[in-house]
Amino acid sequence: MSDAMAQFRDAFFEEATELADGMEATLLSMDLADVEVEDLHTLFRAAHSIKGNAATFGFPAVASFTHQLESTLEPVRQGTRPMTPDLRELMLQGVDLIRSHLHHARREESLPAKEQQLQTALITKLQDDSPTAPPPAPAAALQSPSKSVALKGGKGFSIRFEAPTDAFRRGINLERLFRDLGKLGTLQIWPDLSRVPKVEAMDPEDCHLAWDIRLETAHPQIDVEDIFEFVVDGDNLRIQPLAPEGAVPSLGELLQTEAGVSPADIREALSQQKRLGELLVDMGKVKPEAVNKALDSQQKKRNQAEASTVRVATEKIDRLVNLVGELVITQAMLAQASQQSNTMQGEEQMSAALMQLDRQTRELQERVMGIRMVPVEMVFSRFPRMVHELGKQLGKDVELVMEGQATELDKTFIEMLVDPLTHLVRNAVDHGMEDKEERLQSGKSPMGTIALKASSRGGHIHIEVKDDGKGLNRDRIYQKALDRGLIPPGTRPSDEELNLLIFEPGFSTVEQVSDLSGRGVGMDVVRQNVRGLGGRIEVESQPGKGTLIRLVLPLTLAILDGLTVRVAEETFVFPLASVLESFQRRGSDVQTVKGDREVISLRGEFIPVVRLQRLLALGVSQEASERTLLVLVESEGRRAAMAVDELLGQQQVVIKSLETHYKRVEGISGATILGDGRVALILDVQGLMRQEAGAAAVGA
Amino acid sequence: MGHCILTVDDSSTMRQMITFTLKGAGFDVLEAGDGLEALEVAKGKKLSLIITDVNMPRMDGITLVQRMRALPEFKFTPILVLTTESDASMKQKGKEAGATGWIVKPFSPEKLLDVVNKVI
Repeated sequence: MSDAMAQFRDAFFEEATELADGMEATLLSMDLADVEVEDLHTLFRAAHSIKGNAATFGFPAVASFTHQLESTLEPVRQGTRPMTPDLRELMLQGVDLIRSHLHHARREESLPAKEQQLQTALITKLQDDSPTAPPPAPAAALQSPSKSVALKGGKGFSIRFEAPTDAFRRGINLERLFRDLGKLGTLQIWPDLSRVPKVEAMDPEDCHLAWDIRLETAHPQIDVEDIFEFVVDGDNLRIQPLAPEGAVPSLGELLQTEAGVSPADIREALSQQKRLGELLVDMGKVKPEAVNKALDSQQKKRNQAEASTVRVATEKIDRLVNLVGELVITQAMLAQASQQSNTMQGEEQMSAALMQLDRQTRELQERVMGIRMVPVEMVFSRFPRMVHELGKQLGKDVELVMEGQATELDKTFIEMLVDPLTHLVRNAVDHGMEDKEERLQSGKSPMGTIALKASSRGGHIHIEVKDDGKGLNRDRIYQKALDRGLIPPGTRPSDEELNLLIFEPGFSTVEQVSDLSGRGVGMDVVRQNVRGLGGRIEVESQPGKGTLIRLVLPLTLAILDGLTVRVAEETFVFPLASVLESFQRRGSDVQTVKGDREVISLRGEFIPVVRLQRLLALGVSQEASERTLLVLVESEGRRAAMAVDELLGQQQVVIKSLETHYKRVEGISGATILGDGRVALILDVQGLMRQEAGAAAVGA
Repeated sequence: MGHCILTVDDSSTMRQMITFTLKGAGFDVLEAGDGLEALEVAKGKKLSLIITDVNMPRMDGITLVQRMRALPEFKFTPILVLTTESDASMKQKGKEAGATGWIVKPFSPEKLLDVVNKVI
């Protein structure tokens, strides 16, 4: 493949994937009882584009399969074949196969045998299902026209050419024809004006010219025909070899013309030639394991390369460019002001420029962060299909309503949200939703509704999964929690606390684990993922009305709301999300248990005290205050009171990785640079608790 | 010489590829995503060639060719139709509408330049 083509390969894959997603969305949103013609056209165009682009960018397998879908869609959009539920299912399977094709083509692999079989079966079904089965499209439809005429070369040709009457009206440059012919060899031309009508009868826009041409050339006839490609119309071009001369054709060509082997079969045979790894193994130069290992690492590198790109709207980049332009102006203002800094005017100018700089810096920060933001649509788009399939599988009528797809989220979030959201939606359909009979009995519409909603609230993004099913059975949750010793007997937690128990590891109140939920990621993993993103989960549920699960996520991973504190001489940052409160206690309130573990009592609960300065080996603080300042933090459901020397304030900090610049440090999740240029470490609350627990275990 | 070519395709990848190839060969290139946009973009421009896809939303390539031919300034401008249909019917439709020629997908950048040079 030429470099120019390789450049566009990524773009091709992205666009083809989007087109496939679009096909799926269109198929799913279609009302089969009243199909919009425009939808059918959209489907057809998508298949058509994928086919054309795939062929152009060198993916014949993708092209020929998509061609089948396109051929199926052609009579549908022409109105001669109805879009039936069955056909929709087949087309959906087709979309999946396109995706799979793209996936493998991107890795330069061929489609696995299993999917090849699926594909063959699907193509057969698409044709069987058709009332007016179109003949299977020949593979040759995708190739250039047969070139068998090129087999014979000679000394040249004698050509008779009558220009088509509409040549001028079609913008054809006849002069160009002769120039190109001349490039092939020596040319002799005899114009024939006999066809030109009398002036009175002539339309000046018609063309009536004809020529007899003798061309001496070593080029094959096809090259000559190629030049006339756009002007051939019926029998207006006759080419005869001057002196035929046999050339030795390739075996493939001979087999084509003489034995009737199809070009497709020849290509297939050629593609079965062995690969580099196989050849080297056969030669005994390398062990198969070594080849596999090398292939694995190649794959990893490829995956990394794929994962590290992000598509950014041009508009966003344009705004950045504008902003940088403004910054340059501000810089010039500052430079000028600094030269006359001792005058009143200079001072005014300076402060104006600084204010401008402040505004621009803030905007620049927002915009640069914005580059990483992608619409939540990227995750949502998979759910219509999933809910459709799930509903079918479980025999439930479920409708998916989506809202706020344009809400933007950090790209990393989008990727990490896929699994949790998938699980929540599955759960909602599988467990939340009653079956039809049950719904009818309780006076609900037989069609259940799942609502997926994204919205931006203050500094947070809310993503909600809401169903109108039966709601959580809090009595059962309570019983189960008691059985498992998650709550002490005799206490009845609040409804909210009970709701949240469904996210405890291994907590499932469903007696019958179905095929769908209850496997793979559990609810506890959902919570873990969401917490990993610095977010939290809220649950609202009303018996008989339904359940709402809300993921509350920070806007971005790169910026953190932090509580800055001082411990000894150092400044540290607590992620605000894990801080519950801070309070002062007298030193005597801290009790020592089990030798050296310190705890305090807070509203009847004993909470371990973590002495940060000791844990982080910062030396003894000078202040021997009799009051201890404590920050109550929570992580993974565990709480601890961290002793600090001073609370400095709340601020947003930009997270810098410590690992990339230094190495991983237990208890520290990153670093940031403070306003005065000093580095402050960001505390990893969970890590600190783990560390403290470990230290205590050793000390005990 | 400064030839300006208008490329019309609803696939941005295809458009990018064509633009890249043509710019590399020294042509000026304008882009449009469908027939209607092409008519807008072409307004008042001096074009040496129009390359258009057939299947596009809002206005397809064949209609675009007809509309262009009806405009005095583009009556004789070469127009190439991009098509995956290598069958005679699409070429015939293009011809009848007034297209100069066609490029059958799949095509390589080299092939594209070949055909472009054939009509400019």
